[in-house]
Parts: sequence; C-alpha cells; structure tokens
Amino acid sequence: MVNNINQFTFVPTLNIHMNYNKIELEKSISTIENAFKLVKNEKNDAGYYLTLWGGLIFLYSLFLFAALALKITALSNMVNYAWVIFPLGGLLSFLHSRKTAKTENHKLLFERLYLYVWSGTGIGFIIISVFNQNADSTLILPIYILLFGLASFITGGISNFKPSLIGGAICIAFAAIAMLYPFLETQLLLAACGALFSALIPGLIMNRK
Amino acid sequence: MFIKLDPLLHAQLRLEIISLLIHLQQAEFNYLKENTSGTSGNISLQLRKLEQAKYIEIDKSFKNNYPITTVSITAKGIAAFEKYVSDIKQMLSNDIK
Repeated sequence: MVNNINQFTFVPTLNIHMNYNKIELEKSISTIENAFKLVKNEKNDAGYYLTLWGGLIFLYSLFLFAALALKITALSNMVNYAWVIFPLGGLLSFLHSRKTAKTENHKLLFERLYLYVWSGTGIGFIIISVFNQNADSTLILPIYILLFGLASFITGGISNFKPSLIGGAICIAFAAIAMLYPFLETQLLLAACGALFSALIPGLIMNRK
Repeated sequence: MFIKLDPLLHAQLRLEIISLLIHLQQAEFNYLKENTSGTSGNISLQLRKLEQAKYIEIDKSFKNNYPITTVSITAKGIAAFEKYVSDIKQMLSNDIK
C-alpha cells in the first residue's frame, strides 16, 4: 500500500501554466527577442552627426595645430577664418535633419539622449566661446575637450555603445593631460585626438550598421 | 500558484506591436505594418484595443500634407510588458524545474 500510495492519492502539482503550453510561451519569447534584434540593428541617425562634428573639430584642431607648430605662413593667415566651418556644420546638420524628418517613420529611444546631451554640449561650447574671448586659450581648451569627452562617455554608457564609452573616457584623459600641459600646440593636438576618439570613430562605426 | 498572463499582450500581433514600441520613442503606422505580421485593418484594430487599455498613445497628425498615425508606448504599457515577460520567464523556469 505504501508503494502504491501515489496511485490513490491526488498530489497537487504546481501546474501553473495549465492553460498555456510551453511552445506558446517560447513563441512569445521569440517574438519579443525578434523585435529587440530588429530595433538593435537599426541605424542610429546620431552616427551622421557624430561623424560630421567629430570630423569638423578634428580638422579644425589639426589645422590650428599645424598653423602654430609648423609655422606655415599660408596656414597662419587662414587661422582667423577657420571658425567658418562651424556654421557650415550647423547648416549641414539642419539640412540633414530636415531630410530625415521627411522620410523617417520611427524614432529610436536613444536619439533623444544623443540630441539633448550633444546639443547641450554645443550650447556650452558657444557660451564659453562668446563670453571668454579674452581668456587664455590654454585655460579654456581643456574645458572644451572635457565637455566633448563627457558627452561621449555619458551617451555611450547609457546607450551601451562601447566605442563612445571608451572614446569618451580617452577624451576625458586627454582633457586631464591638457590641463597638466598648458601649451597651446599640445592642447590642440589633444583636442584633435579627443574629437577623433570620442566622436569621429564612434560615428563611423555607427554608420557602418 | 496559477499565473494568468495578460490577455492583451498574450496575442501574437499585439505582442509584436508592444515588443517594437518598448524600444522606440514612437513609431508610425507604416513602420508597424512593415515590421509586424498584421494587415492594416488588423493592426488598426489591435492598436485600438491597446489604446483603450492605455498601454499606448495614438497621435494623428500630418506630414508633408499626408495624414499620419504615430504610436508610442505609455508607462502603463511598459509596466504591463515587463510583468508579462517576468511571468513567462517564471513559468518557463518552473517548467524546467
């Protein structure tokens, strides 16, 4: 009788999915995973802006470095006009945003993150440029590099995009070095490298998707 | 212990829609049509049900002079989705035990 007790005894089981079968549940999980993969593989428009602005700041910094360090007269004469590339960058950004607004039919979650962090950084740049025109450049330039690095680090960390996270950390390190070595040529080279690692390279990687 | 899955989410097309929206700020109707298995009529019907349950918000506007329908998930929808996923994982893990 003891051996046959289960034959005669109702043993309640944790039949928690008596109305659902395993295949049904796995199909639901599969549906959720497919949606995640679909969105994850979509191109983030932030890549265009990172490439554009990273490239512009890289070229601008490198140009100023070359003009100062190499002392090429032709370049030195153009230094006062080099800032023109920034309004040009603004125009290209505006035109691109208008073009994508016409055709895009969805917005990724992190687009808002990139928009607010980088436009906030840009506003910071403008405020520093406008209200510190008489300040020593060797004091201001590390702040630009730091802001750039922070923006990349924060966006990379929140969106889990490692190239931005690593590039941002590298750029922050460059900002620290720039503060320790207050020589304009060194700082310009660090600014160029900072823009390369924190914006241009992550932007190009993002665009490859 | 009996776990009852949210019947609103335990339907293939509605789950596809919510699974997409959970990763997006917003999506237009056409995007949902391109990336789910539903027809226009069926998607409209499911969106209405999700909206009635306040899992999503629907906004109707114009773009380039064409009417567009934009959908976004609400906080209630996110919470419902997270509970749904948690419930399924619990059921599957209990099944493995």
